[in-house]
Amino acid sequence: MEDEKIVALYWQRSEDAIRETAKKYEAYLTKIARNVLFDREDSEECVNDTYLAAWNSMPEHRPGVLSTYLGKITRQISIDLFRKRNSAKRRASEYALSLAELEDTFPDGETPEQALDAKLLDAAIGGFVRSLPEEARRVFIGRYYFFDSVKTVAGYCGISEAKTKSILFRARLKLREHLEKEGFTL
Amino acid sequence: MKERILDSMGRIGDDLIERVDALRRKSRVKSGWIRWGAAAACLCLIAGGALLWSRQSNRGDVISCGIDEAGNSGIVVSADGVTIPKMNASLSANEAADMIAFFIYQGNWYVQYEWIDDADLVGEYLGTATGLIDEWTPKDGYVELAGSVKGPFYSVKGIDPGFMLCKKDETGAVSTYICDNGITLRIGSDLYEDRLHLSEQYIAVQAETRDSWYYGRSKVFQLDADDKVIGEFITQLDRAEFIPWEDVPAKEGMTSTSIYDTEIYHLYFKMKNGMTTHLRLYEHGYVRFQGLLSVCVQLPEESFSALTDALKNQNGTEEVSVPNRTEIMLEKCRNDPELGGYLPTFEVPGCTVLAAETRYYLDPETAAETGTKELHLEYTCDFNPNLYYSVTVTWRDEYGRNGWAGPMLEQTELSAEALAERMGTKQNGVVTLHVGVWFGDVAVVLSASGLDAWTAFQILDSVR
Repeated sequence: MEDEKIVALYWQRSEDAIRETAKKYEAYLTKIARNVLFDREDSEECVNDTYLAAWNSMPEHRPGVLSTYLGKITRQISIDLFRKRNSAKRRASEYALSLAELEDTFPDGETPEQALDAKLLDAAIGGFVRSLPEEARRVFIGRYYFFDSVKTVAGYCGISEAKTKSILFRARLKLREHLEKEGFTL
Repeated sequence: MKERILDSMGRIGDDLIERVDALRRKSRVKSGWIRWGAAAACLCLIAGGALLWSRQSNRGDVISCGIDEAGNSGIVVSADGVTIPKMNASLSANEAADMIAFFIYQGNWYVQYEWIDDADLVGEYLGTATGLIDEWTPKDGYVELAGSVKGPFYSVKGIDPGFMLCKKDETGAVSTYICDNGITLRIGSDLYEDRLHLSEQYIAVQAETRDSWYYGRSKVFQLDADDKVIGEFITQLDRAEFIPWEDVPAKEGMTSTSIYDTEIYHLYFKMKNGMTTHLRLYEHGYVRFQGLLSVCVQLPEESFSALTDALKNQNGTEEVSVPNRTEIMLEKCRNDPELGGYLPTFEVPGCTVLAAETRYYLDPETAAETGTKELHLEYTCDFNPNLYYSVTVTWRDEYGRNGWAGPMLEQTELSAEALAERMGTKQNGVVTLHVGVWFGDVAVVLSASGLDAWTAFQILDSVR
């Protein structure tokens, strides 16, 4: 079913909306959740919570691209669940590996809270991602939005893993410079 | 901070996400039909450069070889074998579609298979891909030589160009491309012997678990290539009949929740020519070639389990130490006959090379390296995250072409004082420096964070 029709079902408060969403996007959303959590049961729980969140948000939202809308919800719910876990359950998900990569450039424990106005940071990160060359942008979003593995990103960007790692490394350094220029104390 | 950054990444513009998402989805549409169960829409998980075709039975947004609007794969099984139909670009109007790496040659689509750093594979020059296809290309743009990659391409020595071609990039790495459509395969030897020459070409066999492969852990084990278990495995592989992957019973090849549930091992046959024949092993004896995932063979339980039992118990296996690619590339940079002598010999104590890269000028007709274009080294410091720097060495003619058009000093102007004048300071007090020095016709560019002027001078002054 087309996205517009599924969204219309949400607006009609038809329970078919969730059924059609699951039919079309369950695997897609499960992949996003699994990249964050590396746990099937938890991932399924996050995907189910995504349907609930979609049900509660439509109306009033009327997303143009349903996959992106739902994907963003799943991503955040999954990250929230990751944080709730005790450390023993924080297995080596791609999200955890992404955090470890960023640790090199943005070590913990030195960031004053006043430097972290969320809206300003969102704007700075958004501006930075847009400023990247096309190839680097694809790689950066693939790794740090979708949390795809380096191998996977290399695969769909048509470049070698070594080049993917190099692009990510350079991008992280550039991001650090960018945030500092934007006035963030890192 | 790092968690806040990833949170903010979740709020970047939808347009940015959608473009990359289109690319991810297209890459999954590229090999190996995936069935998630009865009528469910499907989407395959990919990793490690896996180029999977997904079958999305309820979606009309699939660009694919032979997938029609109803989601039919178009794969035909006959007495001749399994025929994978020719690619038929069928972009729907409602999805921006970006592509994986591929190009069209003699009406066939060649899809990227693997990258090889050092291999004498390049054969005859066959054409130049135009790279004109992107997510906005209409159906009639899928013409000869078009593709998502551009540049000259070549035959692969000893391999039928109707099956495999290659390209070479500026770093000297070769990427191979497989024509995974418009072919008919009856038994394993049609692929593994006639096209890949497996029996005569393999010199080593390695394996890793699905988990190691999926999460990039590289826990690869070396098997005894002369072992009779391997020999029997290849014999049965060659004899087995091909079947469409989509015809594998859902509970055997995959389940409705994860296509990887039944995948158990990845097997790598290292070939004399530097290539790797990468096989994926599933429970119940199913085997797929990574470059042609839309079909598979099923091996007799006995020979299949003899191999998987050996892998499980790691009998006769030893872990392969993966060569440190950075060290290899660093040596290549240092020994470069043209620009290697311009690399600084001074290295900041405590700093280590994180990445090293050599870029070459290539002859488009032969792919031969005709000269060195650029060397690039990146350093990080283990004990000080604020300290990192990179050195780029290139020719005067390349000034401004490689992303560097910043301030340049003549060699005679180089001093700690001159560098100090060009230093900037970040808000947190960390100093930065971006400056280049001409050494005759060669530019040596230093880009640094956290380096003092005297140390920066020592680096640049050590270029001789």
